[in-house]
Amino acid sequence: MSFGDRFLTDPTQFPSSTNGTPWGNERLIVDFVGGPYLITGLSLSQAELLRDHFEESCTTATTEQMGRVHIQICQDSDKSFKDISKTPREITFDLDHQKNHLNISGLYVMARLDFQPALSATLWTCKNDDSLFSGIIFENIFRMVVTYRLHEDNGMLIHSGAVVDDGEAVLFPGRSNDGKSTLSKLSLQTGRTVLSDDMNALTWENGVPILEKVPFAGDLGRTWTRSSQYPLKGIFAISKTAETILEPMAAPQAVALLVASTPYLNTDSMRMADLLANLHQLAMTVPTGRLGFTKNEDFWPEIQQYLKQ
Amino acid sequence: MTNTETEYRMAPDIRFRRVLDEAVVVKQDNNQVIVINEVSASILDIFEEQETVTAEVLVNALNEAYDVDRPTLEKDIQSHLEELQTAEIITSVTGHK
Repeated sequence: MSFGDRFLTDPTQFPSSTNGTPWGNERLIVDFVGGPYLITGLSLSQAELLRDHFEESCTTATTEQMGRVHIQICQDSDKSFKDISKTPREITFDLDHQKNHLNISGLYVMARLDFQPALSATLWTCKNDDSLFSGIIFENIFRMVVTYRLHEDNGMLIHSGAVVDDGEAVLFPGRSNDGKSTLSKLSLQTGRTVLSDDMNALTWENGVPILEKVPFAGDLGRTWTRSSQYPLKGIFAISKTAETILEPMAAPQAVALLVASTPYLNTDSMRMADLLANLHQLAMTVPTGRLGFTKNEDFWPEIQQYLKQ
Repeated sequence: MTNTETEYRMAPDIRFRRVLDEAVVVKQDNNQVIVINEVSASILDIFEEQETVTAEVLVNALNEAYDVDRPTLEKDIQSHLEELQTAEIITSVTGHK
């Protein structure tokens, strides 16, 4: 199938520019790592849905306020989109990677990310007062926007659990069903802070990798407060085992795991070289290992011992 | 079965990076990520420099790097080429996989 075939009634009508009719005049700022992100063109309903969805990270923007990234929301007719009566269990998108922009089509949405002169996004949807707008349409496009924003500074979003131990963060990359949520819940029981059990932001500060929470929900839900930034002290692949096992993981295997856990960028052939370079740097900067964990044992003493070596 | 004159090229969806002695290979067509060993990584380095490569070119290029006799190196490289072909990281120029 070609780009747009799954979601659009006529993919040839995909917008060739960023022009569009806004849904309304509402403006919001979502402020967290890489931002602030300015969202304009929202209807009253859409703005309310996003405020509910992003909670404390989302505030009304004045007409003077600017964002580091601008996302504009435009109307499109429901006739532009195929009618998909049942929301699929797994949300996927058609992506068309170009040198200076990225075209996206998905469930009742078309979007375009422009990388020049500065990162910006335009989103066309037929959904106004439907919770699909905030929970699926906007959040998923927004994740891609944040991904590319972080990439500008050699950072990335990583499918991962992240737990704070003694003031520093430990990262557990992995895809669905790898055990991130289970490990995160077990870590909460030891009194530790969990940044997220699903998606965490990695940035760099003076050569030190830093982890920060993002307002995207995982299985533990979304309790949003902008978190402190935590320096990263270790990366562990995880699996559920009969007893606790902790063994080294070489840098090549760590890079492979991180590539597989870095959404959107890992399908972008134009930026793959940069992504590999950034992940190589990351794997050479902090200790990496493989953790097999069980629900019945506290694995944190083993992690702490491993990281002291 | 390959021979020393068969020409190969890297598959167009392949991206890779050397990490220590190995290499991380990403197959963009199906999002598969593979770690390959040092010899295969050295082979891919040569593919980056030349559009098509034969086994003979690889043996000549790697002869000094590996302290083995030439027949052993030829056999080893043929084996690695077959593995890379099976993994669809390289293809023969005639299009056979």
